[in-house]
Amino acid sequence: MADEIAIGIDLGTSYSCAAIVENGHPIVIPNEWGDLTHASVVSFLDNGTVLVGNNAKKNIITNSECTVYSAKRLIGRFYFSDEVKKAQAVMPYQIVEGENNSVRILVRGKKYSLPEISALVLKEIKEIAESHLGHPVQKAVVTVPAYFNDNQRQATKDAGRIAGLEVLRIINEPTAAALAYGFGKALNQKIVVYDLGGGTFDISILEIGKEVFEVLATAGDTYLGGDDFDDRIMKWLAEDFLGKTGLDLRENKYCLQMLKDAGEKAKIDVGRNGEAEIFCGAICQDPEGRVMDLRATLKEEQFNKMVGDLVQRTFKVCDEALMSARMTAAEIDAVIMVGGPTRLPVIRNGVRHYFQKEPLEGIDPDQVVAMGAALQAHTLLSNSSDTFLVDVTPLSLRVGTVGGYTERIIEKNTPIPIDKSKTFTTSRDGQEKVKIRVYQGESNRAEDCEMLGEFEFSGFRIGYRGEVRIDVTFEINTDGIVKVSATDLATGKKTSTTISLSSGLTEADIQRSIQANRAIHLAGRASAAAMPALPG
Amino acid sequence: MAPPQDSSPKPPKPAAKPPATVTPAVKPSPATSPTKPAPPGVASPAAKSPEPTRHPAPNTPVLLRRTPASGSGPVAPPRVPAPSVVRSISGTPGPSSAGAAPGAAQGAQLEALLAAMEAQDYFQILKVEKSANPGEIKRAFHRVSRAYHPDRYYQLVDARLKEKIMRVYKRMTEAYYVLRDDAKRDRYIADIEGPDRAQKLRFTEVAEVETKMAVKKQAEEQIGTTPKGRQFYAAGLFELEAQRWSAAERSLKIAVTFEPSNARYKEKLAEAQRKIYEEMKQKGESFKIK
Repeated sequence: MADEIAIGIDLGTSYSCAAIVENGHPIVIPNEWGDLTHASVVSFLDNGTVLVGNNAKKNIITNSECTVYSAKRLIGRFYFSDEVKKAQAVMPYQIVEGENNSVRILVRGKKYSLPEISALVLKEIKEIAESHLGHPVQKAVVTVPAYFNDNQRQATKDAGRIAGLEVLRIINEPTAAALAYGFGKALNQKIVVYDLGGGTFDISILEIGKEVFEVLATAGDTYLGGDDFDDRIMKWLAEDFLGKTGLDLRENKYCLQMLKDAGEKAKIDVGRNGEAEIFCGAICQDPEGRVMDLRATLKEEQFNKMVGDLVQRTFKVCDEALMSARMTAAEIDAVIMVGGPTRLPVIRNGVRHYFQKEPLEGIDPDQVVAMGAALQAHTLLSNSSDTFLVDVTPLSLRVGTVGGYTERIIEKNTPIPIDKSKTFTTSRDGQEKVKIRVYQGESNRAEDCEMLGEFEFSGFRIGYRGEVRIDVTFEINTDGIVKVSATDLATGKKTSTTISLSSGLTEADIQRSIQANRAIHLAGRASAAAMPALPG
Repeated sequence: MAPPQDSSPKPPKPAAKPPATVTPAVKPSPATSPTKPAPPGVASPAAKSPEPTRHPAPNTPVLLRRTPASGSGPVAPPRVPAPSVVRSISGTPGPSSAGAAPGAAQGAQLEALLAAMEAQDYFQILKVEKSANPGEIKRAFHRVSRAYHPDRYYQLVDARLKEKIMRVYKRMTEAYYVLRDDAKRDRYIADIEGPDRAQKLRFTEVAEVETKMAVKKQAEEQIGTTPKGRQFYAAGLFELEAQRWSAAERSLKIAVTFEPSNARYKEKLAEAQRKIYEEMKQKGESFKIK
């Protein structure tokens, strides 16, 4: 093993970032233009090449149907989930159904799985790192929101593999941020990581010491992020425009994109300057063929009112996390802010008020996660480090029982890795097989939980109902990924599976995707020469 | 059983303990580790300069010092070799050349530890007193984590050895998960001090549905002032659950005769009668058609 290089990658909803440890310190890896963060946008060009990153972002409007963004919102989800339906309504690219209720993106007549899309972002990052370091990079630690469920984690890990990376570990974003903050400082603190990203919100409470980074509790909302703030502005702009002109901009995906762009820009401006001037030239034409512009001014006060409930929602999640950790806000020593939207004064003020503490300064909310991931990668590859993480599982793990109920096997906020078993029995006489359905969530009703997958167990001794005893063991590994196995207690017959359903990728699929990913040529990459590019 | 040995006048000890856990963290104390010269295969990897030797230092002394504290005899032997497993593993980044022998030896040691753990309760696994406070439990868990956290063996080539370490560590996490929670811990202590200790060494979560049902059932069964009333009421509830409405009605009617003013009895009786009526109605229709 000549090249023991491993990078840390923060694969974000809107932006991604990579870092590496050099001389004991994490350093963010810039691309050729000096950008430290790279838009998680993949644009399929008509010449068969693929453009990824900040340049691809420009194509969201001009090449909207072939430009995929916010893929993280869809990764590891089922086709029938609300998030997918919502995305179908607003995304300009085509979201279609694949096998086993999985989600596929249809671009230029080809279907891509979500891990394949994310793999292209990872490939870009890998190449950025390679050209910066002058070495091939094959290993990485990739971060996910703490509140990601098993499917989402598994799909992210698959994405890494497809991109030709050995994913050393999947770690939680807030945990990574805490690591970047406390590494090598010999602190002894209880800290909160408030992580509001583009599409997800996470809160983690950690106790950090010299060596130990222990997560006490984590909570989150995978349906809440900076995008929702943009949506509010878009809605306001659209309704304002509708009122003035009688034209609904939301009916057209092109206009919608312009609106989204304007919303995002306005959010940043309002946060920075307290006011935003919004101007979209030639956003549409009225029925008479006149070209219309969109103009508006957004004041901070107005914006704060628009998003007030979203901000409050984050504090409900904070309440939950503190309760799980059995702590009060007053016991927190420090608050770390992660994610672009935490730059907004409305968020910072809210956090200050809630925790009665000034959020820590001097931590870049866009880079801290990647830096923590790099530290973790470095720790795993070196034997010299004494640091270790004790993370928790964010959601309770359950098994479906008769009548639409579920039985909890592993409680949320249980430290991992761990395994637990429970004995189940058959519900009918002479039953030959049982279906074991695995859920994640906090309700004992199956319909209120997320189904992770199901597998069939057969070949056990056949007997009367209630007589056959089947031991089901759940294991959560250090990546937070779940493995389930069932054993017939009488015969010892065993079956096991790593549940994967919505990722929808079998081993063969992944192998095929790896080949396809290799063949894809990333446009505008200097290092592309190193990669054998196949003719389109 | 452990309790007699774990002499309870421990309260002064917490004060003395923290230093015990902290001191070994000062690294240059490998000389104090008596387990150091343990496995034969370890000597070879000289590639790693100071790290391998200093690495086990925080682990070894702690584990040894704790041994007498938790007392019970059969536990001690696997505990001593364990740190040496840790040591040799962390000292061999690419031990494939070292051959199968040390791997097998370490494997055997871990296997012995795993086997010993099967007979240990969580207090013994974490090497804490039953009276340990949450802080002590946390420190104990961190101490074992330092020795067995899978991240420390990430580089290990031998997958089976890795798997064993993972199994050891998972049990430690489990112990921590139960002992750090007061309610779970109390239940666990009751379990392991009871007659079924051997079966209850691993904490079993009470089923959510079962607990809720049990509480409800118990509350229901408590309703009533006369033993006969309670008896027939319980029988009535049983029949209701089984959807044998007329049998339920019969039992509940008798219950009401014992306690005519019991509102709950009457309510359930009414429920049974309503069910019978509903059934009659459905059947009645079909009768008419005939």
